[in-house]
Amino acid sequence: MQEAVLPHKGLPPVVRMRDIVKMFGSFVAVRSAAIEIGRGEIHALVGENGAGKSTLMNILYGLLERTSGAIEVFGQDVHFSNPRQAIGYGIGMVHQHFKLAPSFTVAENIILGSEPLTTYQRIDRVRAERETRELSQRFGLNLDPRAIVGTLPVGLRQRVEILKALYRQAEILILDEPTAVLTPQETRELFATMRSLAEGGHSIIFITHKLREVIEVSDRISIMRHGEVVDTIDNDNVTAQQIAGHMVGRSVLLRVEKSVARPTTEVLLKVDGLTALGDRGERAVDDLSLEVRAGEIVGLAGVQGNGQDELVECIAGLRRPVEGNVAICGTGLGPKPSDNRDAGLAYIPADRGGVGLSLESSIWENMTIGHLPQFSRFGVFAIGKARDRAKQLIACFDVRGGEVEKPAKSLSGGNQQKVQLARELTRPAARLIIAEQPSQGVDIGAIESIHRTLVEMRDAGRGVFVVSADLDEIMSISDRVLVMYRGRIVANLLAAETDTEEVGRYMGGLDGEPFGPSAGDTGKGLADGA
Amino acid sequence: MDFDILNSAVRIATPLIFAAMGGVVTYQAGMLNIALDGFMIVAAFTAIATAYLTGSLTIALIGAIVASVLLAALMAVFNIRLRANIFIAGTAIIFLGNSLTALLLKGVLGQDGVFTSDRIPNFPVIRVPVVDGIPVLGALLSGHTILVYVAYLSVPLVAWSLYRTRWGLRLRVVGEAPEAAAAVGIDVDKIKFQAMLISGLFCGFAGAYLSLAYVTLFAREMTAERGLIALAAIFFARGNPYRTALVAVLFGGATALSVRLPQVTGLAPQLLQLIPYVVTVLALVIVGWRTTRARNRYGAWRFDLG
Repeated sequence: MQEAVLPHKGLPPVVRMRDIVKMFGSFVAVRSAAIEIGRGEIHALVGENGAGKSTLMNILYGLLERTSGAIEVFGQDVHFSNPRQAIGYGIGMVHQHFKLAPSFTVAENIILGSEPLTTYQRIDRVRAERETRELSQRFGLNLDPRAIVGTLPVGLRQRVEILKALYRQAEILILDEPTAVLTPQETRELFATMRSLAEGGHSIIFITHKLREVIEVSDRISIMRHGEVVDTIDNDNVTAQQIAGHMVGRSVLLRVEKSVARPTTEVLLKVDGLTALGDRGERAVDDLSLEVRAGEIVGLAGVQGNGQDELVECIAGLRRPVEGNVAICGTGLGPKPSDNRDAGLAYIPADRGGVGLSLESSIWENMTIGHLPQFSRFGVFAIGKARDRAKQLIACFDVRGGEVEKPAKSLSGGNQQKVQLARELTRPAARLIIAEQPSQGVDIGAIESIHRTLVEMRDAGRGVFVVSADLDEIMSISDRVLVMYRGRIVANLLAAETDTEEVGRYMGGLDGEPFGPSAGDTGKGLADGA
Repeated sequence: MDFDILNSAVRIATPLIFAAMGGVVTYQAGMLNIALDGFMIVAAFTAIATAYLTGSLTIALIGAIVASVLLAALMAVFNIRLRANIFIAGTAIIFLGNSLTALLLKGVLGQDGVFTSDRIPNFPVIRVPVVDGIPVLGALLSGHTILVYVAYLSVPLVAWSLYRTRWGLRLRVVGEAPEAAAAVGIDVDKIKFQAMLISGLFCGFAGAYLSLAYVTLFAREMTAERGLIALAAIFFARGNPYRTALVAVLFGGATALSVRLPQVTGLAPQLLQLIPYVVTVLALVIVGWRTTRARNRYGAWRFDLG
């Protein structure tokens, strides 16, 4: 491994970016950033959300134009104004949200934009499929060229994206948060692919904020903070805490400090034999049972798309189950979503902009909705009172940049999340808190405070149900971990007695048959309830 | 004589097929082009005015196409360059088309509602040898003007362009996943612009057919919402050119029937003229029913939170 660590030494860099500045209006997204990428290295680019990682790489890929600065690729000065030019210089990018056309085949997606042709501008399908097959075999990324992309699992879709870049002879690959949607097993396969590509002379820029992965796979690490590359270090005896410290400029707690949970016997959420269908009619939730008790934080792990969204929507009353029951604080589901809220539900949805908040409305309006009776005087809305309360909540929940009259969209992701929390958690009736992807798009500082709030809620005797695609988050905050796979709970584990490796195996469905709640003896709540 | 109804069904479907092919191209490029009627009315007027002034059908046809494509270019500038909402831009284009032609009808041709003239030449009817003598086939395939054949032959041409060529693949990807197209360096706006111009081209044919071949006159708002009916056919067929054309032909058949039935049955023609529109509404009901059933069959539904 030692000689593979720094294969780029002695060779000129393939990419050299200097003094890069990017302004959006008066907002400085990237200020004076500099980075060098060596040939055949895996170069991690880490930083908090909003640190400028993606912006910097979008500039390199020609999606954004720099305001000033200089870029050299293979020793030549370049200025890309569109991706096509970057592709011409051997740069490829795999975006966090895949840029694929779902109803088209693998081969069609791969050749798109560089199609092999026969006469009359017709697409040479035979050649397209043959070249796709050859390419996938050469790089050990097996794919059926005729498969429809929309039917493939996420890991394979990512392969399509990587092959798309390789088909265009990319030598420099930018991977933007590539592991965000993968299981630990898929992640390992991706890392193996990255290593073999690097050994073959490809340079890989790996944008991420998962520090464990950075240490596992990269040769060098560049850390961005507030639009600057604050440091580039060799991955040699570096710890995650050190990198995290660089990222936020102070040392942070990656694990949530909390005492041992003392769940009571009171069941706040009881899901019993629930079956629900997804938007395409598939059995997204399949005869699922679970319980959340007062005084515990239950984390629901699972790769996205295994029925978590549908489960949460059923509990929130936004989707009607076909079978089974949901009881919140002993009350069954009502016909309206507000019935469940009256029964004791506080819901922090993942889709802040769509479900959780009205981004165009002001912060005080967002904080007040759902609390209206409290501000009604003889049927007239007491606006002043609602504003005053919003001011208090802004201070209390530390909503940065929060002015009551400003629209919610003026806030950063983390602060929008705090607005949601403030509204939901201050409802007196709320005893069961469902937090969906609570730290998605939230910077590290805010994650800490959000997690602390959830732990406080637990300690105050409420029940907390956290659904997250981020396994690190699940592991650090939960007292008990449930794993969802293909619509079922396949594991029920005490957080203190398990590790990411074990949970990851269940997430990938490797342990075969799902088992019913009664088999989950390690869980305090589930076994009794069944 | 009994098969006349087939012959008229083919002719009635012709402008619908032209308009629908224009709409299919924009539909596949991800644009709901409601301005088809606006393109068509301008083309219909240009065709008859040019034919009246020059006496040449060829020049009239070219003029109709140029006028329609120019209007489509205006629509594309509104919607694609200036990012105007396609519904608002489309509505504006329809108003513009209808009002401008009504104004020019008065200003240039000096007529108020309808214009026609003996000086306007007719498209010759083509009798296909051999086929012409065969009972049903003859009525279907023979005895039409050149534009009818162009319309029906344009269907496989559109299908081939969409599903076999590089341009078609790119256009369909632009329609389904524009960000995927942009990511590989395809100029999304350029493709959408082209699709809109092609929509204009087809509507140019449709308009010229309406005023010079289907009838030889121009009347205000003579497209009679054929553009919207074409859109209904496109939705019913989910943008597939062959199925879209088939729906257009069925609609043509229904219209032909509504013309013939009063003569046969003695029922009120006003009532029977509803048939084509009832067919359109039914088609859309089926589309809607098909999509809701896909949800309801499994019992899954969502509250509309928007």
